[in-house]
Amino acid sequence: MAKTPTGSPAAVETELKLCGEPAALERLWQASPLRAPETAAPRVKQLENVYYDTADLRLRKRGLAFRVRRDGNRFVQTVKSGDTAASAVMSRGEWEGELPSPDPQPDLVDDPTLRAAIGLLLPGELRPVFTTRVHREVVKLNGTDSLGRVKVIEAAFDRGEIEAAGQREPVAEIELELREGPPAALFDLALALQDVAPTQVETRSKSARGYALATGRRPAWQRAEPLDLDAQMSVDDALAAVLAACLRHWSANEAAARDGSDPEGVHQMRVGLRRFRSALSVFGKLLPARQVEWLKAEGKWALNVLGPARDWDVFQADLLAALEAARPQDADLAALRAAARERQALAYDHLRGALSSPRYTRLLLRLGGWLEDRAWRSPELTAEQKAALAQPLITLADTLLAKRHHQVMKRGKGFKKLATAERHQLRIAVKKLRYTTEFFRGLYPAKHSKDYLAALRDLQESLGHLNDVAVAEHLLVDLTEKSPPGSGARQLERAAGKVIGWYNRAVLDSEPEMRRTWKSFAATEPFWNKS
Amino acid sequence: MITVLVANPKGGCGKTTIATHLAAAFATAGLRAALADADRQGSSLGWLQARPESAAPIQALDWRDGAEKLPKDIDRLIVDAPAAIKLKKVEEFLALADVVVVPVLPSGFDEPVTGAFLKQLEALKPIRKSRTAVAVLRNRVQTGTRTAARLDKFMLGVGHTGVGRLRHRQVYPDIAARGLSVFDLAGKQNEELREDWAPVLRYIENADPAMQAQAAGA
Repeated sequence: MAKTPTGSPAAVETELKLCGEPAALERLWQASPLRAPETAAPRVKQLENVYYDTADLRLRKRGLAFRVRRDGNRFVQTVKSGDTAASAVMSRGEWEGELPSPDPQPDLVDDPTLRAAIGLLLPGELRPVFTTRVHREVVKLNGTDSLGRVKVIEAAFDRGEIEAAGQREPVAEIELELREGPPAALFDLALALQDVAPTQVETRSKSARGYALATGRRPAWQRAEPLDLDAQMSVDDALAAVLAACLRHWSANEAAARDGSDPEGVHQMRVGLRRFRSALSVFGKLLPARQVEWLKAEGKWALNVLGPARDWDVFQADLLAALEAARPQDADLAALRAAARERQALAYDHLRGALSSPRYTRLLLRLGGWLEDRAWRSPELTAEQKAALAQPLITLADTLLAKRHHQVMKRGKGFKKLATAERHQLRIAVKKLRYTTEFFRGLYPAKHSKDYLAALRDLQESLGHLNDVAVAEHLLVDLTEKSPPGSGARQLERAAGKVIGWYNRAVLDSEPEMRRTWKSFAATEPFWNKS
Repeated sequence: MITVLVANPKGGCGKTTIATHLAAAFATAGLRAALADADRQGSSLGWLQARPESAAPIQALDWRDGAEKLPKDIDRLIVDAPAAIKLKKVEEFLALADVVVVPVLPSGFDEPVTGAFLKQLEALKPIRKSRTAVAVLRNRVQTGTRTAARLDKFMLGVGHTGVGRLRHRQVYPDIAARGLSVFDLAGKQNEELREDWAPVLRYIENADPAMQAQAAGA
């Protein structure tokens, strides 16, 4: 499956990359299980890859990587697709063929899909964008996993550099590529390696890093890919597809979240994690309780790791900005802005540390293996759970949507007279309903769901004001309590009072809007099939 | 797939020359190209019929009675829009298009008509919402003449991307009857003429809807 003979079209490779401190990687490389007594000494190669693209980087924009590799005196041209959709495990199309010289020859690519992806190239339009040079050591690991399945994994240790536009960046990573056997074997090996030395999962390809270096662009954030579910697929298949999509979404945003120059990175990563957690609560009853608890707890931990960074991003960009616009030159607000900036920087330091921690690496690896193996199909499953997993998705979707809808209606009963705490409960029920509809909307005709989804979105947005106040209060209490006494502290306290007062007033002002969106939601017909 | 609509209400502005050349440019580059003729006159279909078997293949689609279902596995679709059209008629094709290429001639008769057409296009939803790109391609330009200079000035006023100019050359009408384009012919002269097409081709390539998903946040 992973082997790519010369000139073969669109083979798919499955690989996992580990990065970290060079010393830690060195230790890993010398230790078992990568260096068992029966493994042969590593093969050594010096590889030079030149990556090509047009001046307007069309190949990159189409998710392609086009390179010519010099391996001794051979030249091999490789085109890979799906390169920008980074994830813990990268599966993608690939075409490879030998060249007589180092000059790229796009016309040789005879796979129609990849040829179409390359598109039209004008004469002389391809030019080198960046070069990678690595010293590569490769070992082949043969064995069987705990279920007796054969596994063959090729492990490569790359050390070297990426060079673009006169700039250089070091490379040190261990790549595990599955040659034969179940993909979970890659995760098992990577987990075993964590006991030798802690590493991180590298979600960026060398080409993504090369382009970043060449263009000076910060890592890009990604939206969630559309879910491709259909009504008659089994709940089991849907569950695997949904959870894997959530994992891909959040890990594709990891680099942008660490970078932090665009708040959207942390935001999208949190969206991916929250969708993951809500998928677990949607499907949770059908899975072994112990597994769900662990995944929920670890998902919550990761979400909390990102929480403060997100809160301070929103606080500055939305909450504080509105006040500043109304009260320009306010010295108290300026002091608050400076203090918020400091907190934001600390929050980002904290998240970078946590995303590099062994706990996060283990979450990615264990979840990845669990999904590949569909490890929820364990002896712990009850007969009812098994039956529920085998039923068509639409049956479950109808039941769950009705249940969540019912909960919202119950919590919102007598909306006008509900206290703030009760409205918070309603807001959370609305959020859960929203996620459930996001998962399942594709199963129903869009014209049936359109009005309902619009009314639900409006309701969620207007109730969102409640959360703005709660977040502002929480952040400001924390900020003022922790600042050292003095005139600076008094200034922050005054600013905090202004912000909190402003948003409490905003909630009062939004009362008619909240009532209106509630009334209009309550009057909208549900779109699913009633039992 | 990228769909290109070649449209201008003014007859004789080279709409069919441009549609057939774009189709041939993509076909000779090894892509699966189709040319849909929605013009009553059927000139593009005639060109396709005359096209020799030895030339890079282009799928012919007869759309004179309106757009029909698309064949599978097409990489580039060029639509030769109806001439002298009511806007209602373009809208149907516009909904399919990723790019609209509007040819314009250096003439006092063409510019006002084209200007008015571009204004009408701007008001349409897909273009107003920037889902569809509009490119203006100057055709039959005699470089260095006064009309050429005036056309340059006109271009500055229309507010759409100019995608280069095609020089006025006898070879275009000569090879049209044989179902050929400058992309099918060898020789230094043709190679030079092909360079005129580079900006519009690059513009079309960048309008690939597949790029939008990739470009998020970049």
